[in-house]
Amino acid sequence: MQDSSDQILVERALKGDRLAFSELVEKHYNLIYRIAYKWSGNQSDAEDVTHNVCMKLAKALKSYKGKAAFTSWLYRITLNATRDMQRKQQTYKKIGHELSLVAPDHMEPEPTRDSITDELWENVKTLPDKQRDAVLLIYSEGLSHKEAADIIGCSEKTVSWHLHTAREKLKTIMKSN
Amino acid sequence: MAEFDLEKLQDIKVPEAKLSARQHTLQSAMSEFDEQQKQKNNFTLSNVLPDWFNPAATLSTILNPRTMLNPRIAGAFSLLVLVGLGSIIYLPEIAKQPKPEEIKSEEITKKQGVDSEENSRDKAEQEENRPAQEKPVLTPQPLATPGIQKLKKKTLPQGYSSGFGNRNVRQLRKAPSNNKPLENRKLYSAPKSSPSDKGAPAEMKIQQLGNSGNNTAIGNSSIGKAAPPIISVRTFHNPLHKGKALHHCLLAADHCGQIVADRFCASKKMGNAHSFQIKQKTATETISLQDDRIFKPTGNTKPLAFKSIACYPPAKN
Repeated sequence: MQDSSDQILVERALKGDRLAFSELVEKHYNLIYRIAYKWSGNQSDAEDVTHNVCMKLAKALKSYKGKAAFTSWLYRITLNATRDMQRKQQTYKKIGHELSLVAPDHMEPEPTRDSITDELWENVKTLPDKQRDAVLLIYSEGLSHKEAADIIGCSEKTVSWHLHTAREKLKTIMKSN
Repeated sequence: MAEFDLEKLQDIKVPEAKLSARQHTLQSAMSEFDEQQKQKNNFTLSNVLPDWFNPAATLSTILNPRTMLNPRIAGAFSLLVLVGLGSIIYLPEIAKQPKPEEIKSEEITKKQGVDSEENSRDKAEQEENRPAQEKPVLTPQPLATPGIQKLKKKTLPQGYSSGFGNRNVRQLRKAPSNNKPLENRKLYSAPKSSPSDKGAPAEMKIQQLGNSGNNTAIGNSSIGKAAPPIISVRTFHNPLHKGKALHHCLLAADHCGQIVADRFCASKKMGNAHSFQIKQKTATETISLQDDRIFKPTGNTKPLAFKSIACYPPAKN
């Protein structure tokens, strides 16, 4: 659903209103952070992604046409930013272990999680991008198929198909475990 | 078989973001926003033009095989190429063909030419019969405007006149040889240094103003008659005052039009205004000639600027 207050804030920010932009970022900071955390799985990466997304917002705001809800647009940007970060991390891992060796000293302990949820979540993160996005958007974020389709950039039927495939894969993974 | 419920994913606990990280992010975002605003205020082509207008990017998109695999884009591209080729091949041929207006004017001028040939013979005979002292020595008059010269060159076949200004001269020049052309030539193309030039009527001496602006000759004259004097006016397009568009009134909405045009011409050391045009579209900013007041469009006021002002030449003292 289109949030009119977001729309107004975006319009004001596009006209150069600093306050409106500040309000927009503050309002959606937690949403961006939550998405980043669920997709990346650790707080440090989530904060980095949130930082990058908020920085990007200043430039990318003009590309928001107001066709979809602002939050849907924000989801898409955040998911892309998370994916970019994960790709970069994979490249670093390939280069060498030096960088990752430094990391454990600085990383803070992750909060304790429910073991079943934790296992399921870890398995979901191993799914291909589209399937993982569909599962997390619908089951974790509680969005409708249509909203998920808007964010992923496909039809509702494709979302359903991604969910079905994801479920099948998860079944296989859980069986093997 | 392992049982799992995807609904449990809702239970993922998200730890709160650190306050310091949050503040740092907000500050960075604001400074980035300020940077963007600065860039936006700086006038650059990339800011004004849409992204797709970047020629390099557009070319790379077109040449990208993925783009060309799209049947719609490929179809549109091939259509554009066909239209381009067609225009290159056929446009020159179309341009060569005479326009219907030109054909008509040719026919008309041919007719006029035949008529005027007869007239010129009669006139030449009359001139011959006149006593030698009475014969006026005339200097061929320059064409009124370059536009007319162009028209004559383009549309008229050799030897035919257009019916403008110095038609008679051309007609007489084209007169057949058995009708005493030499005398006619002597009569109408007398050398400038001829002493009889001094006695020529004042109307025949036409001076075009040597101004840098656009000069337009008003009026028409033909040799052999006492023609009205040709007046050259200088036209100022989009006249400016102190670098801003000239307001159409001296005051906000009083003393408008001619009076402002007259004063503008006077400020350019010209005579009074011959004519003026006012832009129909509301200007963003205009300036008064009277007191340099600046008018901007608001709810009630709609500043109108001059489109052009044509000034008479300065009066000779």
